[in-house]
Amino acid sequence: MTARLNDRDLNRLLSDWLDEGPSTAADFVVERAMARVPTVRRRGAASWLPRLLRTQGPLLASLAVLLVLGAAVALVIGSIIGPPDPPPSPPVLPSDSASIESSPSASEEARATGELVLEEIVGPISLGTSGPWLIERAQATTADELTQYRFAWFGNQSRWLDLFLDPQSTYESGSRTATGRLRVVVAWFFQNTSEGESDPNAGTGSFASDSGECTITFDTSTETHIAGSLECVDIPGTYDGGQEGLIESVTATFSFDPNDSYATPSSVP
Amino acid sequence: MRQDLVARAKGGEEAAFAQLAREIVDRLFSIAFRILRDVDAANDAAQEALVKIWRELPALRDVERFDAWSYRILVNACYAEHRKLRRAVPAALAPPLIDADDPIAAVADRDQLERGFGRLPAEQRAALVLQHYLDLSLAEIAEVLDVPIGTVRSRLHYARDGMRAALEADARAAEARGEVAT
Repeated sequence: MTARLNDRDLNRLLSDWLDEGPSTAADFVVERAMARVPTVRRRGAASWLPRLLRTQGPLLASLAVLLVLGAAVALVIGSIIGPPDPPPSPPVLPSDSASIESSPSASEEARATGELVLEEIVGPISLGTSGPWLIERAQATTADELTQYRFAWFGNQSRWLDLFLDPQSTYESGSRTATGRLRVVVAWFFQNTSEGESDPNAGTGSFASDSGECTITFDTSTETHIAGSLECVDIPGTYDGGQEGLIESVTATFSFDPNDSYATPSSVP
Repeated sequence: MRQDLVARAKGGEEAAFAQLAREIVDRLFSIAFRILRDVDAANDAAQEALVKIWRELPALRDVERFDAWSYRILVNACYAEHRKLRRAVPAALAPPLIDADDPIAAVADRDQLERGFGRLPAEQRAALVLQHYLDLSLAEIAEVLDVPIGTVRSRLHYARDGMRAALEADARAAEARGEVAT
């Protein structure tokens, strides 16, 4: 008869096994990372500061002080002449301490109480022809418990796309509509991750996910709308019974007029 | 010394960050390999983690928490790499001869462990590695993974169940084939 592994033996097995294996990174890892460092946009970095000032330290500190004083003088002069145009910047997502009072439009800044901070990046994605695009997720949900995802591109012309997704949609494919011209169609494709086992939630149930990697493709043939498709793969999450699982893909299409305003999509019926 | 490097890198000194990267890269790779079980993917994850560490360092409030904070970034990079790795269909290896009276010796075959571990979701793998390779406490794992302690317990529970089930299934299969040593 097969003896069952007790916890102590399993612990020892795991520890011994995990101690084995390579522990030295390839030489190119640091080299390649450092090669990318100069092009990385740092969180909270003042983009108008020349990179030289951030890397040369005290050697150019006096020059930095002069620049700050110069900017202060410019602001004072500007306040006399009139308010300057705000620098172009993408709107930020609300933090968990914020409440969303109204859903933002694609062309307006998100309005929320509390401190606005950029949230954890869900994952960088490549558009192919330009980019990189970043996906950000708001920690605060909307009043009807939707999660806001922002797909943003910081380039010569910043663009962003908001999608409001209900991570607890049912398995049946369905459509989600919004007032205004924002429309998102989400179809869930679920596949069993446990070999040979039936899905205990097949047909009904819910799936909550808080991460995933997505690819977004824009339809460049339209001149008035931002349109395209979205595909997310390998989204880990938790069934409503607490069991962990994986949705292998989610696809969505979207089309909206960036000059229009839109309200939060209605809940899934 | 490390905190000074972190502080200087946080302030934007690329030279300081380069030195910091050289100090931590092997540690990052080791953890990544044990989660991903793939050398190339682990190198990629370590590289991505270093870049993200540089990008996010200005947001690190307490330089003393750098280790746990960097582990979180690495684990997220591992999640991304794991999604890229398509789960390979394991080769139909014949289980080794098993001594039913000594299950520990019977499970010495690392292929069984690899197979069992390979079936786990990345989140469960990460929890196991943080516990058994880094010897982190539940609270420390929760901080690294940025999840509640209850979630850590749940992931470890399912991970251990998954590993045990895989190991015992191999043993039962070998027993059924009459390969048990007598």
